[in-house]
Amino acid sequence: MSTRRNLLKGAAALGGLAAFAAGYAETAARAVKGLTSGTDGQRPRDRIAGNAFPPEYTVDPESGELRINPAQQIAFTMCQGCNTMCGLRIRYDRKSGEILRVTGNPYHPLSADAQLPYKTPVRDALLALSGKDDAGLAQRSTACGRGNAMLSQIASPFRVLTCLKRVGPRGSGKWKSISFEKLVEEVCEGGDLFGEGHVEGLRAIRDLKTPLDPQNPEYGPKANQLAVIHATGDGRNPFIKRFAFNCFGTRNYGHHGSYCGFAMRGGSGAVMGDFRKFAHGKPDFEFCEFAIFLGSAPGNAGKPFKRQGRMVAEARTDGKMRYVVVDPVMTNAASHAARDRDSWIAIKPGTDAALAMGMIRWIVDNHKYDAAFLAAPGPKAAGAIGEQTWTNATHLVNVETGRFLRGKDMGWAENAEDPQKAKKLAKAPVVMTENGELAHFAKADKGRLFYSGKVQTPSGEVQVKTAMQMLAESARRFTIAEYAEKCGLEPAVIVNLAREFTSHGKKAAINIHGGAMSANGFYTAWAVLMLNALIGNWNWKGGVSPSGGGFPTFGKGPRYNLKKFPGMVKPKGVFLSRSRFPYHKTSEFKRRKAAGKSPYPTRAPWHPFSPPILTEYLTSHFDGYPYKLKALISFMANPLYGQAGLAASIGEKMKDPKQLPLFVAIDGFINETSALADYIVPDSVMYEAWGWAKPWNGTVTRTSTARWPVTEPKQVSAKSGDKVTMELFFIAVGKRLGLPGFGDAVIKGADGAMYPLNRPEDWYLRAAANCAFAGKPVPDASDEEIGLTGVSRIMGEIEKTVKPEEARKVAFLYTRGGRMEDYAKAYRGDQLTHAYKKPLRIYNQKVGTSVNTMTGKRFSGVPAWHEQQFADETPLRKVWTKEQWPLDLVSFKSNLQSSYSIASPRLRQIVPQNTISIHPEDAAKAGVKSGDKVRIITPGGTAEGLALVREGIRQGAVGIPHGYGHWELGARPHQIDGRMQPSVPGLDAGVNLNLLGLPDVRRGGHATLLDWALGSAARTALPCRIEKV
Amino acid sequence: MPAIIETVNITHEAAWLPWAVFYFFFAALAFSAAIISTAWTLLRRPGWKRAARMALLVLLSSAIVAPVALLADLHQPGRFWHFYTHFTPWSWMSWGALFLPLFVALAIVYSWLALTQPKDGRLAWAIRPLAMATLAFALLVALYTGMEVMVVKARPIWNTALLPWAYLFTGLMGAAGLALVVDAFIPGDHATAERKLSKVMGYAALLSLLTLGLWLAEGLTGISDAAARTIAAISGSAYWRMIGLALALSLAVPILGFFIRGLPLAVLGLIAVAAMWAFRWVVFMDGQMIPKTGAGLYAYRLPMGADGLLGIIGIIGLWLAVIIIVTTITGPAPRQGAAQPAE
Amino acid sequence: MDTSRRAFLTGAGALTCGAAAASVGAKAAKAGPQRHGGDPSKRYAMVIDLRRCIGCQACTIACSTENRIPIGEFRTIVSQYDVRDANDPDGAVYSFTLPRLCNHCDNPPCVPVCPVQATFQREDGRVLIDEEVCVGCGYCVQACPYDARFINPVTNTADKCTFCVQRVDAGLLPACVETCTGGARMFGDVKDPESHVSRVLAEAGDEVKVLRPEMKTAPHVYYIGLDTRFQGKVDGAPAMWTKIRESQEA
Ligand SMILES: Nc1nc2c(c(=O)[nH]1)N[C@H]1C(S)=C(S)[C@@H](COP(=O)(O)OP(=O)(O)OC[C@H]3O[C@@H](n4cnc5c(=O)[nH]c(N)nc54)[C@H](O)[C@@H]3O)O[C@H]1N2
Ligand SMILES: Nc1nc2c(c(=O)[nH]1)N[C@H]1C(S)=C(S)[C@@H](COP(=O)(O)OP(=O)(O)OC[C@H]3O[C@@H](n4cnc5c(=O)[nH]c(N)nc54)[C@H](O)[C@@H]3O)O[C@H]1N2
Ligand code: SF4
Ligand code: SF4
Ligand code: SF4
Ligand code: SF4
Ligand code: SF4
Ligand SMILES: [Mo]
Repeated sequence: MSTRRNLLKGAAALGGLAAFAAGYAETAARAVKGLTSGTDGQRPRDRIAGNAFPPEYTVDPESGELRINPAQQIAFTMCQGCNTMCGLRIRYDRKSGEILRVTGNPYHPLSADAQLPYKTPVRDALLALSGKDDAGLAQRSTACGRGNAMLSQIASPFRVLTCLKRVGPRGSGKWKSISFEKLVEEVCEGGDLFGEGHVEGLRAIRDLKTPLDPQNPEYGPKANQLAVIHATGDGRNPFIKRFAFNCFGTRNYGHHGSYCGFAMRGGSGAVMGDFRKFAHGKPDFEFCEFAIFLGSAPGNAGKPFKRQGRMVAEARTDGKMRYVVVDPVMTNAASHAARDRDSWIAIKPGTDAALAMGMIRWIVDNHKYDAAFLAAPGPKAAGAIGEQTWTNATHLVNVETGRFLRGKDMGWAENAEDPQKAKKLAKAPVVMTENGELAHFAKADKGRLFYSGKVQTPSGEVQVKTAMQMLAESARRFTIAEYAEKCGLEPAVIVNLAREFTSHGKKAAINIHGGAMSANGFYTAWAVLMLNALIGNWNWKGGVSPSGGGFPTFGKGPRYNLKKFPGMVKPKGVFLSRSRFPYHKTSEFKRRKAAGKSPYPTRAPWHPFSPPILTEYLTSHFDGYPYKLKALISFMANPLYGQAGLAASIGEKMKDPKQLPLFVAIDGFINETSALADYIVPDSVMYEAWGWAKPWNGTVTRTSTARWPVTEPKQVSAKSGDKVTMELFFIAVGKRLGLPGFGDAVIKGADGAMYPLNRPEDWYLRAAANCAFAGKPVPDASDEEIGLTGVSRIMGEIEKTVKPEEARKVAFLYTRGGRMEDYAKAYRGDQLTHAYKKPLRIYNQKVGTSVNTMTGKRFSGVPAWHEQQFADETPLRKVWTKEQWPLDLVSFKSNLQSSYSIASPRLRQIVPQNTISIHPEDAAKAGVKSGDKVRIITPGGTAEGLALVREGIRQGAVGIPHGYGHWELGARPHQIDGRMQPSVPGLDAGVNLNLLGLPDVRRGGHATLLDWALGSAARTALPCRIEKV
Repeated sequence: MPAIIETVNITHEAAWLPWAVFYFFFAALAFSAAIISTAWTLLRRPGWKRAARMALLVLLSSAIVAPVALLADLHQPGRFWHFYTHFTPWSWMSWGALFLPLFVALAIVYSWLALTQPKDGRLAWAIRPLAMATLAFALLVALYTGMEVMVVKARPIWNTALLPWAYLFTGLMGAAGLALVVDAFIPGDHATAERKLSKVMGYAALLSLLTLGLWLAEGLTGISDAAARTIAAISGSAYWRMIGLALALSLAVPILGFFIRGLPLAVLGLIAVAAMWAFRWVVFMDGQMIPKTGAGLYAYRLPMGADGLLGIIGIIGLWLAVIIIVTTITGPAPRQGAAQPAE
Repeated sequence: MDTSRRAFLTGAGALTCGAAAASVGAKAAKAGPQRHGGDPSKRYAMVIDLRRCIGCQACTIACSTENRIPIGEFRTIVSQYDVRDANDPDGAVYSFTLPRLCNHCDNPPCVPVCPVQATFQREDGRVLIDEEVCVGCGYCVQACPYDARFINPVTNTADKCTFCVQRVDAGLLPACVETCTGGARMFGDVKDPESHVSRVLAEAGDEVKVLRPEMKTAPHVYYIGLDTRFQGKVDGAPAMWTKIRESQEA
């Protein structure tokens, strides 16, 4: 008994001691470590400053003496943390090359409030950023949250560092490294590359003669069966475009525009009469008194993100601006702290056109438009009243044809002797003067704004209306009350907005962007942007400004012609997206006509005024209409993550090599799209790449941002010793296939001599020379500044590549991170220096005469209210009813993440996952509380996420911030040469709205829902419902 | 819908870990047991002999374990000596660093002597002065542990003059309760000891409950701003309502001994110990989950490792081993003819 | 400090048994912590104009990078709220962003509690921590009314904003100020009436507020545009940080 008791006691005591040993081992070890080494943690660098880096330089507060920390290097290059491409100041460790921290380049307008004068010595610039006399507060130059965090991309464990070839099926996530040369060989020559049968290589595809489809010869040659896709204007796009169009000779180069903010660009193109470059403008924040941000969120997202954020912050504080944000979601664009300066109007998603048309109606009915500006029918009349642009408001439109009444209709040209003059006369639009006479637009100093009736022409009576008349009639199709009901607002809201908008003269502006990416985006953006034209705010201080633009770099510059080269191909045929090509000139049209059948509807829309749109590329390929591709090369683009509904539509098919025989991705990372490639070509990342970028609009001075390898790129080199990059890949392919434009003697100098293109430097440094010599050439860089800014790293390359007289000037650009016009040049009197001088369109003839090939109906040539509809003009809500899909799903950008920033740990630590914004009333109906898991269901998919119940969203709308919900880019570790990438939790966190994107069920096939007129992706105002999980 | 919804913020981790809870728990057991033990060792109150012996066992075991737990709560345990090279008279913790080791040393010598009572009676004279000194330091430890927490204005839940009292009362309750539990395992005459100890436990529980009631009243009436703030911060939380109720109930249980005869006192004692521990857990761990600036409450999740569950099991294991070893060595009762404290 | 001393004294009086020791303590405490180091002619402070803050978290990340703070710990964070305007009859809803960091209080409760004087204040007002001395007791973390401190899991010692001592002493600006996109954060010497911060403060007048004024800590981070509802513990629905972490672990 007693021994048993003792045994038990002994066991208990021993057990207790064992537990203690286990629980206390760590403490004991720490105590020992602490006792022996002084600390049980990692000893920081400094006992007071902790692990902080030593500063890159010091400034004596009294004398202002500046001392550089020799262990570190400062360099000015470009950010690529989002598509804004700001100029940055990089600070790296000279020994290890590790990037320590980044912040703004003080010379750069995207990063600094008012950038430093370009010629400011670098030492003075550094002083201007310091604390001495608080200089740095005024001269602040910043990087945004992402910009600060994205340096992690360089050393990211998910970087592609070698040339990869897939092992096993496409998308399996298994790769092996191959040499660059082998990759180029396989891609060019094809063969049984994967043991899955023969794959046609680029050599076989590049056939500029044989039509790819003899039935439809207008589709162009076989070379069009290669598509090259890319993201955006990152300063490298001209190179890839040149390869695709002019060297390889395919029609099919496409960038992300159509699923970025193309609805806005389309609407803007319609007003600005530019369906080539799709020009657009931005409010002049600095002097604007009243702004409306509708579907654009300055400070939360926006291009340029940082500049807009800073400008709006400044404007609502020290500036004069009051502004209204019209958005179903409340973002950081409206600040409570500045609430007397800003407010939020929660509009019903996808209905902004109603708001804008309502405003137009009020403005027209109450004559609150800028009558003098609109009545000026041409440049001379406009010039006389101090305007730099004019509109076609007074121009007469033939109602039946949709064409302007022109000189040739009036017989004006007949008497002219000079054929040149005759041509001009024939083209000249006709206006009606105050006293009812018909006049040449450029000769009348005023035209009638409103007229509807008949006019006499040599060939008889014609029914005409002025453009303004057409707009007014379009606006008057509904009453303001009806418009208000459509967009779920009080009529007074529309009236007040219109009144205030027209109460500040030219110092008001309206802006739209991503919020227009709905299925009625084109007419929405057009209606909205028409408002700017109505108040005549273009080019005025406080109004709307086009960009300051950039200096000539890749074009025909003062030193080298980087545009034209011997043997340059002019691509031919129909874009895969059926854009721009007139349908009535196709064989299909003719065949159908000949068969006595209606040429309408077509299988898929022929987009008459859109550029090539990536939204239609891959789906058209899988549909085989107009034709199929044989190979795809992607560079940085990630449509499977970024285009609503695309992954559901073609994600699986992309994995089938029979459907798409060859897919080469050039990418720094394995993203949702490149994960499905056959080969991945590694590339330089962030501050390692070469490039020359122009800033996005909204920058009022001229700027070219330099991108250059401030540190050694981390990926492999080719046998030649050059780092493998996008450029090197295309050069190698070009040389192997003997394409024009690559090799020795392909770049024409202004001196008439020919120069080589064998390395990326041949291209970018010559572009730099163009930039440096544009206008008044920049000064020569001094040795000191070359050292101060780390340009010494590339000085050898510069000297090796450009001419001696160019080298120092080129170097000067890099010591400043580009070439920037001085801020003092932004304005000329009351107007912006960089003005838009082409006429604005109240009526757009191109649109007004184009036909929707899905219906055979003509498009409206003035903005008009259209609800969201499919390509065949069936209203969305007719198919997907309110009863079944009571809510509207809205996309907005995370203010922290961009579409590819998820792997940055310092970003993720702040908001590790996105949440789904739901209005309290909708949440209550679904029995959902904040933090609950909810399921979102659309006709296109289902996703689950965490609910955030908040009043910052309109009732009836459900919002998902973009940037999360990745399934690649680290979310799934890949196996490379048998080794797994690290598995980092949280990279797949959250929801991607695009997995809930919709198909165009009325079109069938693979088409995703697009704007019916333009083809831009529809990612907002999607019918949905929610359930508690 | 509240007028304010926090959409971005971070959770602040608890800087005082479960180790701190156990330190305050064992320290309070020790200083309370020291106080109880003096009823016999110092005051020679009739009928207190066995009760005091049980208290001495609690004292000895807890005094050994308490500093072990405290050391682990430091994130730099190896730098404990900085307390002595950087004595800081305006910091209660610094004083604690002086009081605690002295108390522990005294408590060990005192309880060992009083428990074992050396045969020749040579050291008998020392027991009384030792008891006195131990009592003094016990009170100082009670004072500093209470004050150290109380002075933290930044945590309204701690910042109340009632806190040191609550520590003292719950401590006495728990120590008496634990003595009752120990008593149940040691053969001998249980009845008298039980009577004395359960009385201490009951009264202490009553006082604890009153203290808590007073705090609640102060808070609800707004007499105490700190209490009012605390209540405002936690009143919306179902979790806090539940733990509040559970605490009140478990504090009421030891009082039941007064009213209901024949309740198993060791079980009541165990509940008292649990209540004492839980009180400290709530005050420390849940208290640290009340944000100072952010909205709502943070959520504490007990880590599995040394700073959480493993540590908790370890420190309880240590106490268990110590009490078994101590009781085994000291035996069930003082040896015959052994020294008695001088009277 | 006077209040904590008062608490000290009342508490001491309450426990008569400890009176002797307490009085010794009280006497010693009267000496109190002394400021040392730094330039007494300066007083560093930060001014944050909330109207300019766009919640971009550039400051948060710059701080995190510059000072190499372990992931998941923050010397500064910009909390964000959806808030209904109290003055607006329609209850208009806005976004409110609030950068938080150590206030470098003139009367810093974190300093006197430190048992080893690792936390101290310089003559120029900066409250700093001597990492070599800190025992990681966490007492200062408890005592700071702003949740501005944390135990750094890499150094195992207390950590918080230093006003970027290494940069400011080098004649530069703190990292968060340097990179503040909206231009909301301003830094400088409030003893110099000509400094930028002094001028901004003077101009803003009554608009200037601090966090938790009732704590009498005399904070030296000043806010313009601060809604009083955010001065103390925010009364509202909490963020879902923990929930998100849980959902990621699940
Ligand atoms: N933080 C951050 N900034 C970025 C980027 C990023 O990824 N992250 N990306 C950059 C790029 S590439 C671009 S193109 C720009 C885009 O910049 P923005 O266009 O400003 O941003 P978005 O979030 O796309 O859309 C703007 C707003 O439209 C709102 N919206 C959605 N549906 C509707 C609607 O039906 N009606 C109205 N009125 N509004 C609606 C959204 O809620 C959102 O707040 O941002 C750039 N800047
Ligand atoms: N639901 C929803 N969808 C959206 C949006 C939205 O707001 N909501 N936004 C839309 C917008 S505005 C845009 S612009 C598009 C963007 O979509 P895309 O332009 O198609 O692509 P991104 O997702 O930006 O990805 C670019 C890829 O480039 C690679 N990359 C990143 N950095 C580097 C580098 O430094 N070097 C190299 N070589 N490669 C790099 C990465 O693999 C990354 O995935 O998404 C659109 N999609
Ligand atoms: S706005 Fe975009 S490009 Fe500019 S710093 Fe931020 S992440 Fe970089
Ligand atoms: S954690 Fe360090 S700095 Fe803070 S009180 Fe303790 S010893 Fe002092
Ligand atoms: S904010 Fe907190 S840590 Fe900073 S000085 Fe004040 S009390 Fe100390
Ligand atoms: S001053 Fe420096 S340490 Fe303090 S929050 Fe700003 S960056 Fe961080
Ligand atoms: S960097 Fe400036 S604008 Fe951005 S969140 Fe921080 S304080 Fe606000
Ligand atoms: Mo975009």
